[in-house]
Amino acid sequence: MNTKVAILVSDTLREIGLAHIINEYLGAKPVCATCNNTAAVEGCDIFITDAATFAGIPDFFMPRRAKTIIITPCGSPVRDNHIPCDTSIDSVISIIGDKIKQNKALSDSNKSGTLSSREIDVLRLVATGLSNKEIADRLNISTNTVMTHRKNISSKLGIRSVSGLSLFAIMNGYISTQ
Amino acid sequence: MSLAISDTKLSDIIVNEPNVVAVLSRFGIHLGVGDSTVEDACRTHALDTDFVLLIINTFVNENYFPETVLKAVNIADIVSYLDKTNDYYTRFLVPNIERHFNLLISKSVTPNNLQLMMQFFEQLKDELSQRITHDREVLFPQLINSASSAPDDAIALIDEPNSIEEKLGDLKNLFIIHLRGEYDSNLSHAVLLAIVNLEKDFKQNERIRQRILTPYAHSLVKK
Repeated sequence: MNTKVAILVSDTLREIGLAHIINEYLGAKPVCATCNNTAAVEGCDIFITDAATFAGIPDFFMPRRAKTIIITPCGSPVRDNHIPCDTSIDSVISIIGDKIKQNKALSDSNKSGTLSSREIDVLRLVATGLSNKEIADRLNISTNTVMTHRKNISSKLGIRSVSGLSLFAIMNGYISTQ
Repeated sequence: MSLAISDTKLSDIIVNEPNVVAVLSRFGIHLGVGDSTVEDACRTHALDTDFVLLIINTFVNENYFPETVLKAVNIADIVSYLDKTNDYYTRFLVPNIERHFNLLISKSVTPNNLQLMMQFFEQLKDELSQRITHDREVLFPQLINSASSAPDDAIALIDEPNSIEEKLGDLKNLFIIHLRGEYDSNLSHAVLLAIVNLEKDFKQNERIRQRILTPYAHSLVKK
């Protein structure tokens, strides 16, 4: 999943520059909005704003301040989550890049690694050709839960098709071939 | 890259996206392009420049959606292009994977997993050749006919879901993530690259089908 970075600044040129850096150098998705239209950036992972915009809508930014980077005037002291206007492009990229990394680490922490035992149960049944409904009945869980397990299995293994999953299950001895 | 236009040099397009040579060869344009532009080459080969640009741009740019150009498109051109694409898969890209895969299995010490993966590839190959046969015998003739006579239900034929793209991605990841045992490293790279080649071309052409062929068929039926 691409990280979504909201840009809420009053200066259009600055907005264009930031959007470019975020898209080209950091592989994330920039979402631009004005302070009158914060609904557009609902659900973004990181927020970039300037001091005036931040001060203008504190109700919006205070709950999100851990995810917010503020652009401060030239010559301001360098602090966590602050980018003074005269910062070099390398530092801008690394400050925003670090924030994106932090955010990714948080959201990936419950996804990485090998299959859980429940996921292996689901995989076995998928591999034998059962439908989501049948698997749900068999394991006494809801179809939605089965679908969530399948999504997680596919994103952990990089395999989406049923026949690919069967192959993986055979290769790893989860089911036999007879 | 920015969109190719009629006076863009072919060499610039190819340098930016080397995979496009496979596309150009379907129009009869081969390597050794010199400094000719798209328009020059189209004149030489008696091709419709707008159509060639449409195909190149859809192939190179993921987000290109040519609504205005679409209306002027000649269905026979598209069908002929897709037919040549299918031909390229059958004659070149698929055998290329197969050849390297067989060699990899024969040179590997413990080829168990590889043989299972080969079976998976065989399934994929069958599915692909079924679709190609269906294209050639059912879909393409119907599209050609519907351009001149009353529209029929060609849409149903196009919108049919297929899992080929998904399986190509799976096969690629089986190699990248899940390969185990002792095998010939160079040959495994060759198989992977051959798979990636087909996957990339297939994906790009699915885009052409979805963005040009499908809307075209829909517009036919609406008339």
